[in-house]
Amino acid sequence: MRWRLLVIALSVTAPLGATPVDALGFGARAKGLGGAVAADARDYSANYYNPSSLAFIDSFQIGLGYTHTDLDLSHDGQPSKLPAARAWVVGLVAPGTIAGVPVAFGLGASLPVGHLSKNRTIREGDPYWVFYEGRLQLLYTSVNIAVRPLPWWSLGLGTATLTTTKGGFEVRGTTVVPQGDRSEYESELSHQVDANLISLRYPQYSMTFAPFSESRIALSYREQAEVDTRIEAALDTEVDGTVIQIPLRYDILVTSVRMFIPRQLALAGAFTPGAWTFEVDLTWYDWSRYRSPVSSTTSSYEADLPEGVTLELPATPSPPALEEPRFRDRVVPRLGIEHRLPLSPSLELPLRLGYVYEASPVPPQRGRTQFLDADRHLFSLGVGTWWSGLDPILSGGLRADCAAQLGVLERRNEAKVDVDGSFWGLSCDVIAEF
Amino acid sequence: MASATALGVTLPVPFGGVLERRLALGLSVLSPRKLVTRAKLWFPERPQFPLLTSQAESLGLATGLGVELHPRLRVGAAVRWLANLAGTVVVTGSEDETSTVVNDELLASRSAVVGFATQPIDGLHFGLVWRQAQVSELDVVIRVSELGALTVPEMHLAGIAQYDPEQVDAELSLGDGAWQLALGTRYRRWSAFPGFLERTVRCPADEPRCGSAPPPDPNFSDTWAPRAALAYGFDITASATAEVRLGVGYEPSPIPEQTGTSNLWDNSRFVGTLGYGLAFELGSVPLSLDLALARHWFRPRTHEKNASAAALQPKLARVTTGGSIQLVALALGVTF
Repeated sequence: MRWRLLVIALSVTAPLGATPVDALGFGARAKGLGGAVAADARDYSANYYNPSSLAFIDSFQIGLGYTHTDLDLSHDGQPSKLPAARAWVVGLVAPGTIAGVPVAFGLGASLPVGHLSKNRTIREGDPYWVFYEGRLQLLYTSVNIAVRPLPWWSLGLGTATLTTTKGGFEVRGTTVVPQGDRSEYESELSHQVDANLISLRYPQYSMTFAPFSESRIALSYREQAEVDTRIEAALDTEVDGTVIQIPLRYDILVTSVRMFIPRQLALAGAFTPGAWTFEVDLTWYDWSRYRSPVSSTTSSYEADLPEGVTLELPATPSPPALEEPRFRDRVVPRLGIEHRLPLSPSLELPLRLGYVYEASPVPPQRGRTQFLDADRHLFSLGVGTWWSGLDPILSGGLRADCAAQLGVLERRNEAKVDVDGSFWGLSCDVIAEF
Repeated sequence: MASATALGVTLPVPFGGVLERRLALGLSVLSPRKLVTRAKLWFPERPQFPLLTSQAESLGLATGLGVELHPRLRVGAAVRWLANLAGTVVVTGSEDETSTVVNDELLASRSAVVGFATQPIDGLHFGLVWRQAQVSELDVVIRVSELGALTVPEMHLAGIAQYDPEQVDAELSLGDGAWQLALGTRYRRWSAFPGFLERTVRCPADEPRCGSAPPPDPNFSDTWAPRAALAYGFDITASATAEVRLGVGYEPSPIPEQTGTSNLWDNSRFVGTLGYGLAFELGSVPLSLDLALARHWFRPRTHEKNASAAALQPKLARVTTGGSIQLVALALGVTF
């Protein structure tokens, strides 16, 4: 089988994206194992957990899945009303050889239902669920290449992408002062826009060792990424007060850190005796570099008032200095167990259990901010079916997997924030192997 | 100068049995440097070449499926994706502080591509492709409530950041040996283009005196673009082949003469291209390298404004536009 890959201008790119998969995982098998698959990713989930694992996959795979997560979070007794996270998941693994060396190309994407991404800036003091608001509503895409120069050693390289908005707009025309029978909708305004939706790619590197046939060790590193939003606006208008017209210009500048992905380093080990797989992953997250997502606004106005005329306009305050978030680094352990139950020579029933403990990097909120989070336990359960013997149509077989997740936040009642809650999720996918 | 990176992948789906060598998946990504999309929607009287800038600066993503129904007949369908940006900017203030909440939502707009290719006899190929119009929209609502005595209506910063009209491509290709001749044409339905900018103030249903005027109708017209190409392939060594390519075409402009206050400039263009392709093996790795050079020569065009517009813009009362565009593309392909 021959795949054709055409690369123009000698580089690899990905569409837009971010990382909701950091919070909830990627792929039904991986979720069933609590995300503990970095050393033993056997499907398209390797695009996220460990690209170098792609080079250990022998069959061409196409996967399609769906995931739904409901959030039941509250702070100070107030329900969060955060929307459910729903996404289609697609993935592809295309192995081959170049000069006799196994190589593989992979694609993975989590596509939120109804939109590509949804995000908001926040004001200091707004309650903000750091890990459950914008992050769960973003597109994730990843493009990867892996090579296995030695039978027991593979290397992987990939990119993922973040996006942000930068630019400005200008509105001009006549603004009607509503008085008497006149309405502001009689204003004759027009606008121009010069805005860019900018992408920022960040890399991930990984390697996998398979020193023995039943064991693998993996190391995976994901680079830090952060993107800023910057919006400039100007209203250049003539205020129509019926008797007099007053030229006025109003400028505003909004800046914020739209998204921050910490550096991550994962060390993973998998042991596969017979029909069992045991895996442990440890991932370090560099959250101490987190920058405040609070938006900063600067505004000013200029009015050319005729003599004797007054117009009540606000002051032009300077934006206050933002409070440092002072997040802490964390190490997250993940455990996964899988048992493949043979039902017939061509049918297997994999059963999975997973557990994750994630200490919150968010410190007690004693200042002006209200960043909401708590330590959480994530329990998962997975089941699947692997059919083989579907020749000649599907020479590799067909997999169908489902996983249920239950996340429980430890109640946190520190300083001025009382946080509590849980979430549950269900994910299923189908993978065709050739 | 605009530059972009492209990635293309063709994946024959390795079914067996009756489906063997019947299906192929395709993926293409055209990514401007650090840019997903650009909304450069200027006031219409500002001199600009709107079709040249917007089309070069948006991420293009397409996914497709091709099916071989018969050795002489193939059909395919694809979806092209673009990003739309919607959102709100709410500015509130007090004596001490101005604060802003920006909500933004990135939506996907999809458009279909359907085509077929047939080879009725050896040496003759014919292809027909229909592309649905593709639109990338921007709609950001601004609410300002801190201007003291001044009340500003809700403002919609809305418009079209990227627009590819509905189009049909037809192409006939002759030759099976070293020489190949292709003749084609592309129809573009530009007359459906609604304009780059939308109304800034939208009138509430209960406000009959709403005075916001809509932007002027762009009044674009449909275009037919003919083109022809010639290719000659030859062997360099036992394991390396090369091909020399030459193409010519004509791209009519859909934008009418700018006789009013708008200054949306565009020119019809003659297009000439040169290409060279090399297929070879490095070690045992099959590689291909393709280089293309293109130049677009603008036909000089003069815009003469009517009397009222000329009085408002005396320096632009009579303007002649011209110039050229140069393109270079380099592609590296690997088969594995």
